[in-house]
Amino acid sequence: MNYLTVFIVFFLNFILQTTLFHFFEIFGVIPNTTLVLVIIISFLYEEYYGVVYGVLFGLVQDIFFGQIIGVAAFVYFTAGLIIYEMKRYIYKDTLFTPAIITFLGVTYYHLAYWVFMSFFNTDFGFFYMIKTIYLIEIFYDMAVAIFIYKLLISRFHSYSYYR
Amino acid sequence: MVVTVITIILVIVMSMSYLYDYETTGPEKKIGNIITMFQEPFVKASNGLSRGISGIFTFRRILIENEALKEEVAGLKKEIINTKLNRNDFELMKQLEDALNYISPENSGSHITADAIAKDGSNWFNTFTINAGNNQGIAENAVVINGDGLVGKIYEIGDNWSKIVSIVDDSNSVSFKILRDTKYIGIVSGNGSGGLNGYLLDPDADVLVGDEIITSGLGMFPEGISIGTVKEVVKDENKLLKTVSVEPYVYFKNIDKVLVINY
Repeated sequence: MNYLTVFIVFFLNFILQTTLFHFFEIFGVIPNTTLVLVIIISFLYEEYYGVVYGVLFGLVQDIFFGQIIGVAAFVYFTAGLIIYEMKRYIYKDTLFTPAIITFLGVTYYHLAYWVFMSFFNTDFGFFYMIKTIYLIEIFYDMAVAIFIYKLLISRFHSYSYYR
Repeated sequence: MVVTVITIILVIVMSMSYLYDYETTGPEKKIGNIITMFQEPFVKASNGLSRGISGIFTFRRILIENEALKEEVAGLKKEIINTKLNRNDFELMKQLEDALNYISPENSGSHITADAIAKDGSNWFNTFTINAGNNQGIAENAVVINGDGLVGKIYEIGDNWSKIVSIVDDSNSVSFKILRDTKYIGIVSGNGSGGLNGYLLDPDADVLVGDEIITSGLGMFPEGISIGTVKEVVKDENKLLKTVSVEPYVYFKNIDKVLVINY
C-alpha cells in the first residue's frame, strides 16, 4: 500500500457510497464506509494514510453535502488521530478489534458531529439522531468494518510473510 | 505541530463557510466537476439495472396497476374537456387583464428537469446533488420540486452540478396556506427530526388534522406547491399562537428526478 493506492481506494469508496450503496439502505441508513476506512486504515498501517485521506475526503463530503464546510473533515481527522494513537495498546489479531474500534469511532463521530452542528445553529434533535441514525448505523458499520478488516489483514499477512 | 496547523486551518474554513453562506468558491467547483463526472455514469447504470431487475419481479403488480391507470385515464379525459371549457373563460379574463394593464404576480419562471446523482453518505442530512448547474441555467435559490411536492432549494451551484438542501434540513422557513381555506396563512420550518413545525399567523384559524398545506407565494417559494399534511394542531394559550406539525409529502430518502424552477 502506498499513498496512491489508498487514494484510489478512498476515491472509489466515495463514488460508491454516494451512488450505489443507497440501494442497500436499512431504514434509510447506509454504512458510512468513509469513516470505517479511516478507522481501519489508521489502525492497521504505520503511515498516516487514514488521517490524511480522512481530511481530504471529509472536505469532499462537505463540499457535496455539508452546509458548513470542514466539519466532517475535522471529525474524520480527529477520529483518525485518536485511533492512530490508540493502536499500540490494542491487540490486532482478533475480529473483536475492528468491531470495538469501529464502535468507538462511530460513537465519537456522531457525538462530535452533533456538537458542531448545534454550535453552528442547526438544531438537530439529539435523541432523534440517536434513534434514527446512530443505533442503526453502528451495527451496519461494525459489520462492514469486520469485512474490510478481514480483507486487509489477509493482505497484510501475506505481504509481511513474503518480505 | 502539523496537527495544530491542520486543526487551525479546518476551524478557519468552517467559520468562513458559516459566515459566507451560499458562495461556491473556485476550488469547490473544480472538485465537484471532477467527481460528478465519475458519479453520473455510475448512478445511471445502476438505476437502469435496478429498474430492469425490479421490472421482472413486479410485472403482475404492474399489470394490475395498468388496469387502474387505464380507468384513471378515462376519468382524466373527461376532466380535460371540462378544463378546456374553463380555459376559454379564463382566456377572456386574461384579455381583460391586459386591457386593464394589470401585472400578474405569476412569474413565468423557467423549468429545468434534472436527475439526482449523489446522496449524502453520512446519513445526517437529506442533501443531494443533481446533474444540472450553471451551464444548464440554474440560478441561486431556485426552488426544487418533484412529483410529490416541495423538495427544497438550491444551496450551491457548480458548472454541471448543484447541491440541494431539503426543506426539513433547511433552517429557513416556508410560508404556507391551507388548501381547504386559503385565507389562513402561516410559516413552517424543519424541526430537526425529519418533519416540519410551524405556526399560523391567525390564532383563531380553522385548521384541522389532515388538512393539506401548500406554499403561499409569500417569500422565496412560488405559490401553489404542495408541502404536506397537518399531523397535529396545538393551541398555545400563552403565546396566542396555533402551532402545527406537518408531515411532508416527499420521501426525502428516495429522490430520483426533480424539477428546478428559477423563480
